[in-house]
Amino acid sequence: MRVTGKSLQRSFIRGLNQNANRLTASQTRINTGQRFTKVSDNVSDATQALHVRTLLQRNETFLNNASEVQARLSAQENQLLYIHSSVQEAQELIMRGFSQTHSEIDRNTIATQIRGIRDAVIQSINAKTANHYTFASSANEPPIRIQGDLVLYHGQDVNNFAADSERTEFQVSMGPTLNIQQSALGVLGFGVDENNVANNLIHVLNQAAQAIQSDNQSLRGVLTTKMEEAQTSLLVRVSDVGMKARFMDSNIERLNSENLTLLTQQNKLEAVDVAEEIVLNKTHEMAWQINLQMGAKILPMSLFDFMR
Amino acid sequence: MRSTFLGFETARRGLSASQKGLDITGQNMSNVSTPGYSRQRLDLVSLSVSPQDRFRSVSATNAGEGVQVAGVNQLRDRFIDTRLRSELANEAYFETSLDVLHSLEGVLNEVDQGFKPLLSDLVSSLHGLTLNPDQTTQANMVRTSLQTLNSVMNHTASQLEQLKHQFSGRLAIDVAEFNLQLKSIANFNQAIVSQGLHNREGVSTSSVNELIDQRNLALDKLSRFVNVQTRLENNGTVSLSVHDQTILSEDFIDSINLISMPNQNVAIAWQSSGQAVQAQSGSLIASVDSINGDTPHTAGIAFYQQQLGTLARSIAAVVNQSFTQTDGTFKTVLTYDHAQAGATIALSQAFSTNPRYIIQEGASNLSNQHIHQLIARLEGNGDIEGFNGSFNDFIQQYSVNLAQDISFMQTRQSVSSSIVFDLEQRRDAISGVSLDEEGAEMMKYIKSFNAIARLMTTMDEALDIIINRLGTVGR
Repeated sequence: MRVTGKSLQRSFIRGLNQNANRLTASQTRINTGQRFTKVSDNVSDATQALHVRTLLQRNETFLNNASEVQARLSAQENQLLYIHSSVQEAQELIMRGFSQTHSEIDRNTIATQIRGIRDAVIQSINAKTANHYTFASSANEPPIRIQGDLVLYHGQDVNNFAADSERTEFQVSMGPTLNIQQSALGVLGFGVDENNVANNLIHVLNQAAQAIQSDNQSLRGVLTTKMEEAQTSLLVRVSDVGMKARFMDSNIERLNSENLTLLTQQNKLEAVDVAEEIVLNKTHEMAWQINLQMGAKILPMSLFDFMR
Repeated sequence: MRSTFLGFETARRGLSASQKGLDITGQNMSNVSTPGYSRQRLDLVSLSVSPQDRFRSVSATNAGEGVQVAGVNQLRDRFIDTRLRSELANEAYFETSLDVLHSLEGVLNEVDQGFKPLLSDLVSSLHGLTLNPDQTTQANMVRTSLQTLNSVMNHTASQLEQLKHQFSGRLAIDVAEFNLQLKSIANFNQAIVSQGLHNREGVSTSSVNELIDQRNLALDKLSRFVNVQTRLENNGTVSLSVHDQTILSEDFIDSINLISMPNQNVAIAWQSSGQAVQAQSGSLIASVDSINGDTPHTAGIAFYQQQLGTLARSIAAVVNQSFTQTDGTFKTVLTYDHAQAGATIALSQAFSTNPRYIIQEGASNLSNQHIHQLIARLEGNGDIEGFNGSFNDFIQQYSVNLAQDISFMQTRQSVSSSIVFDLEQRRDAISGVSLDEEGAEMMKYIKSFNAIARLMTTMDEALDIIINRLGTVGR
């Protein structure tokens, strides 16, 4: 086959272009630190990497949610334990108030103490963590308000409620959501029993203070039972919150571990192995330089260079 | 009987032939870098002025009459030309398609930016809203996420429209260039015929070789636009056809018209018949396919506009079925303009002016389950028209589809370029000028010139003997 100057030139330029392309691609990988900048650079790895990115972002969201849930559960537990200890204290006062050895002054003092505990319970149930009410899914208004003799939950008489429907669902993993809401309605109780006695703790404390003040012994049994029920209910709630908090701890641990795995996977898929890439880059650079040098030697050469 | 001055005549012809040989060598060397130039060779034949067949002549009278320049031969292989032009059309098809696909990937790149992270941001902000379902700040974050998603979608839609516009503009330039090249080939045909010195391609005694070179160059250029079939006619002209339709003959020349279609689509048709240009390859066909292609198998700009439209429409539908008003009907959170080819999605007036629009007010609505349902729909399957997968899957599917098309085209373009390179090298091996070879030719002709000059001197000496020195004994 005849080899002409033009074919040598074409071949040289083609080789030079190919080397320059490889060198540029390698340079881009070193500059960006990424093995690809477009999906078409490496369809298979880029597709996997995009999937891993989605999982990572989702995991981050779940971790945020789990941390928030943990904080809220902790706040709920603290308040519930405080309310429980208040109820215990009130229960002792009620027992003491109904014993017939006290004078009217003593009974008045006990009733005042019980009302003080009631107010503390109201304060506790309306407590805020950060900018959020601990026992309400709404941030705009305290869940419990007292209006005369009425105890209002979001503006409605607690005695008129038949069920607690307030829920705050959180998603901390793929799958079903988790309700972490301890509503003020549920914690304090709602509705009335078959004897038309209010189940709500505030009402019970009000009634107890009033009964002790007026020495009305007929309510002693009912109110003592109500207080015991309230204590039991609070303990159940504390244990429910504790269980959820433990679940959240293990969930955060799992999410952190998954995150680590995903980050490793992402690094493997997307990040350039710098040492390997630099070696490759140097090889391309050398090939490019050799090509240039050879081209400079070959291209002008012809018979004319040797003619006299 | 030999004439007295026959030897001088023989030497004169030899000198002329050597000089012509040097001229042609000079012509070749001068055009070593001229695009489309084919090397030329002098056709030399041994001269016989006798009417008889000189091989059968028994007489030596007419022998030694020297050399004759029969013509100037152009070295070219028409088979390689045909193969090369066919492959040039393929290469141009892949290059043009790749150009469009790379531009599309630039607009729809999911590695650096894209819709997936924006969708994830939206889901994150919705999770934030589930933590505090009645907080204005969280609702505002959802609004910001949706606004960003909308802006990027609308911007992408407008970029896709611009791409269509730009590539349609380039197609218009290519069509004009094609028509110009076709006209110039017709002009070369006329010029070659008017020279009247041409019987078969490659053999001529005049500058028609240069016209043929220029015509071949124009044919190479034309082949990149559409795969044309060439036929060499007896009078030296070439006829051209595309998909069995004649587009150029001695008395006919066609041209291509660019036609604008609805939705910024385009078509190309022959001026003579109005029929659409049908061909397998070439940059014109690639441009039309890349602009109009609207199926997954022929995915062009139109296809990705449709995908974007479907994505925007489906997101709007899902979001608009998530937040209820007090009467139980859904709140319009996003609006979607169905008249546009791509996406034109926006926040509704009510949501745009008040972020609390998506907060469900009142004690009876303290649940955040509707937000979780929206998250589940945004991350789950089955909410996109005609697609069984999630929004992320949908985005990933068209991104991967695009990347695979690019990868496939790159492979084909690389193969086609290698074939073109090989054929160009082979054509060059026949038609290209080698300076080494021309140097050798130059030496050959100068030696031959020197030798014949010497012959002339010898002839002169011989004649001098006859005229001046013969019969001088005893004078």
